[in-house]
Amino acid sequence: MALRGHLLLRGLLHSTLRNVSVIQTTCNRTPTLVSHVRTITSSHTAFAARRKNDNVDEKTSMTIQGFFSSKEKNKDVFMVACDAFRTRGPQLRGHVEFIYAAMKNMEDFGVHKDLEVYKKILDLMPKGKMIPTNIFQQEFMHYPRQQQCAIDCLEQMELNGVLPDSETEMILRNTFGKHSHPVSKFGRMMYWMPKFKNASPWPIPASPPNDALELAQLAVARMCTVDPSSSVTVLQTNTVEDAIDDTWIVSGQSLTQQKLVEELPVDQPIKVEGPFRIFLRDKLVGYFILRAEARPPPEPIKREVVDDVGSLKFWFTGEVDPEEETNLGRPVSVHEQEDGIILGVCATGTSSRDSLLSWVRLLETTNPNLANIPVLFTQASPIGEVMAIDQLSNKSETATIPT
Amino acid sequence: MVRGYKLNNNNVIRIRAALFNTSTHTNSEPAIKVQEEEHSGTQQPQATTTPKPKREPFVKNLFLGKFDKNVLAFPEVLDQERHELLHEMVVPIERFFNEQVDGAKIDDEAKIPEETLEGLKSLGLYGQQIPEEYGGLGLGATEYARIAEITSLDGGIAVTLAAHQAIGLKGIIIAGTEAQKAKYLPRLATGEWTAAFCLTEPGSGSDAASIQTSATLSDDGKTWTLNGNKIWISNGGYADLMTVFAKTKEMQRDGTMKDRVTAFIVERNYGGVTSGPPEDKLGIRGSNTCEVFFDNVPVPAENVIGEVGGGFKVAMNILNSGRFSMGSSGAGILKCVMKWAIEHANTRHQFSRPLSDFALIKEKFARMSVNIYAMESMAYLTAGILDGTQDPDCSVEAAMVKVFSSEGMWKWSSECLQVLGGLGYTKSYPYERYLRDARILLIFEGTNEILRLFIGLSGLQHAGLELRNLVKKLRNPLMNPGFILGKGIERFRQSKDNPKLDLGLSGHLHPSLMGGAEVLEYCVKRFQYAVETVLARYGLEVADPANQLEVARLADCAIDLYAMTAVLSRASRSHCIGIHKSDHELQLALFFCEEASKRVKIAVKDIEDGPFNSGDNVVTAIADEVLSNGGYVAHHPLTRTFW
Repeated sequence: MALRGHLLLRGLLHSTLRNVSVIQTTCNRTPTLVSHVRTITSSHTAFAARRKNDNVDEKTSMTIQGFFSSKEKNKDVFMVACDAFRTRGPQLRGHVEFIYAAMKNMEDFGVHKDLEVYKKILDLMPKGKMIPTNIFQQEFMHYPRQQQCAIDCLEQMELNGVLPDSETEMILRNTFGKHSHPVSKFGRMMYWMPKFKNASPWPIPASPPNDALELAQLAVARMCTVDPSSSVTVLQTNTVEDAIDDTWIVSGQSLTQQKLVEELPVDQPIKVEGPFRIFLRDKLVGYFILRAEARPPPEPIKREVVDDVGSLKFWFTGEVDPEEETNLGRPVSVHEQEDGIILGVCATGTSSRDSLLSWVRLLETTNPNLANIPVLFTQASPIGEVMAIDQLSNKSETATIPT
Repeated sequence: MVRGYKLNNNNVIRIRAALFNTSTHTNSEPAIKVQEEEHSGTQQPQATTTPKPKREPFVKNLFLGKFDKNVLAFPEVLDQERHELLHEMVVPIERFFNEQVDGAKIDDEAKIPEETLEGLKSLGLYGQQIPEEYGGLGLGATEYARIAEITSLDGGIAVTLAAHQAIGLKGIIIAGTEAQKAKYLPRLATGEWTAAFCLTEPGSGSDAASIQTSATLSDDGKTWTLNGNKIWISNGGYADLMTVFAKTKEMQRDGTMKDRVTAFIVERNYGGVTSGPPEDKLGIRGSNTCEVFFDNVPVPAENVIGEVGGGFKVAMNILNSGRFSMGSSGAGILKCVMKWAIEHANTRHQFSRPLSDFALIKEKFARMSVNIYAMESMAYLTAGILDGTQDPDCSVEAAMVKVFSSEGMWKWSSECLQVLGGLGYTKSYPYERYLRDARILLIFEGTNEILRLFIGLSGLQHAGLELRNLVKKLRNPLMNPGFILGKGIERFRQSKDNPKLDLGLSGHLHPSLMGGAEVLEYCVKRFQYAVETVLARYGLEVADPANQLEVARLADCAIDLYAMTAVLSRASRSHCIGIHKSDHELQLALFFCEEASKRVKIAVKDIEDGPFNSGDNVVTAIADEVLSNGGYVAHHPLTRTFW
């Protein structure tokens, strides 16, 4: 965890961050979600002047900038630009400047998480020439600017979560020799990055799907892992009569929650609340919950003498009365919290009040008691108004309560 | 000049080079030849181009207390290309088994439908280990083990496939001539022909050397005539090609004729081959098992596999090479069954809680997980050694995997059934079928009793070669004082159950597994002591039938040791490379080591105590009386002698 803190510090002090929305979290939650690439540019190294108001583009020559100034920005164009650089001559003059410019432009071309591209630009360094041949060259960083450039490239890989492979090692070894700083950094990356990559107990795929339905399914399944007996189902609003919206609903409910619904008192209303936010890497899903008022916790057993082992009772001979206050009677499930009992979770395609109504209707098939309980829809939501007033439902059981 | 040491020119240059880090190449040429394994430029290092290392057999050396630490690096034999190819191959096979294989129907009708067999053939599963030039998939041991995880989802299909390729045609691959391979393997790879392995006879099951089926050579030396019958032959009802073992007479140097076993390739269309009706079995009912009769079957002389008289070795090699995959197939089934049982435990409520809340149920799933982990680790470690070393001798390791996995499968499929209670006992759920299918695992491919003796005696044989020198030194104390002193201290420490742990295993594992490494070292040292004790106590009589209990104890210890090594090696690798939920794996590994070490401790104590104190003599005495009585000896509790 120290490394993550260290990375955050570096991020704050050294990188150029543009339009970043970094959510600082404590170490025991999922790591920070950086919605923008962090780039390292040559102006932030020890060997160049540090001028805070420096526009980085002024430091790169126009010819180098010209390699990346095409209108179409994708991986093929990027690779062609790298190949075009090679045609300037076999000595690869200006490769450091080119590599820094390439690193800066990677995100525009959408290749900042692509290992093949990083290998291609690292490959632009001349091989063999920069390997130290005597003890003095080995001791004092031989070709310091080039080594620093390679280190910065590897740093950008690390910040973008790109894991290098053995081919990258070969490129670096052939360029700088086996005891050089870039190869040491590579070694450190290969030590730490695999360990952190899979550290989260609830992993999200590296590139989460773009489709809203799949994202919603992922999100609801993720939230339902808290109870192993839960099931996630995809329902359609068009199966409900009088539904205005035609959209999908992803609903997650467990057997425990179904039992809780059965035991609910019919006179107390339950609420549909939301939309709350859940992030899947950089994608946002809004979800709603069905919440009932919290039940008071079971009272502790009143016993005359606490340690009277002579009065042991267990279920086998029927000595224990189910209504009697024992701890075995009513275990408190994970869904019963201090602020309420969570009876279900859903995400819908439109997040509109009508789709939520359809959700409640569809839940009645597995929770028959739900038909008898009044359901309220809260007006206020964390991200503003959910829908216009003139689209209020006409059902008698629903009512909006100002919060 | 110092006597005995001469600094020559070579040494000078080497020292200078080391001192100044001088490259021996000029600058114009990239100094890429850093290691022999990696080549120049930016290509991926390839696993296939390097010569494979040669290593001594791991478990046999454990009997001497020698631990080959290379085994603690869990093998990674597949390069990226083969790894991805394997995982691409797995997807359609899994889909086929999930969608098109109806296990209940196969079990009910005791027959695999023709279209299922055709599906298997089209997936290439009939030629998994046949080299690609003969039309097979050319899979190595690791890939074969991975696919066995899926094919074992139906017991009948698994045994049909295994009888065909793991034993039926393996003889041709291992010991066949080029002509035999070219003639038969292409048809076997596509599944046009099915193979069977014919060794067992009514009179010889475990005792394979005593077979009575005979083959006599014709006068012109070109045809053998085969006569005899074999039983329990899988695929025997319809196999087109059979690997048959028969006894042939060999002229000895002193003029007498001796019976030796020879392996023949026999085609059904040679005439004279008939099969009996299929056996009605408890489990693996989809697989066809029957008697095969050979009545003057003419076999061409070029169909002999290997040498005439060398059939026993061929049989042993064939059987040894297929055993290890039982670990991965067992793990595959148990993972599947466990998943269903967990789903039941999470949803079924009793006493207003889910079953998974109760510790007795939790214990079952925990111990099952640990057992599956050990099974998998052992199977893939053995497969890795088979793939990754030259001329590997993994006969003992494979036998251990088979014993451990078969017993684990039987026990834990029973426990999964137990979790479901009455529902598990009914035919509407698959648990009882998996339990019945699992029962055969303890019997075929070498019964577990025979394999325990094989493990114990192979190890003792290997240890005996070195210990013979030890005994010589022990009998000449004045010529070997240092050795005697060291040995004396070691013996003293062992007698106090406090051996010196000097193997240094924790240096080869992740520090989180240090506890496990110490436990393993302790077990290795105690095991070595037990081996020496047994050899010293019995000498050459150790192979006697009366002394099997001690040998079986040694085998049990050795199995636990190998399993411990496998789980520690795998957990260490998982944690180092950052595999998801590797901390759970560490927990499984360390728990397994603790439990295994308790078993080893008790077993070694029993060996140390000797047959009198450990109760072996009593066991033998009771058994002798019961057997001579022809039944239970004690009289009925209601018997009275007076009124």
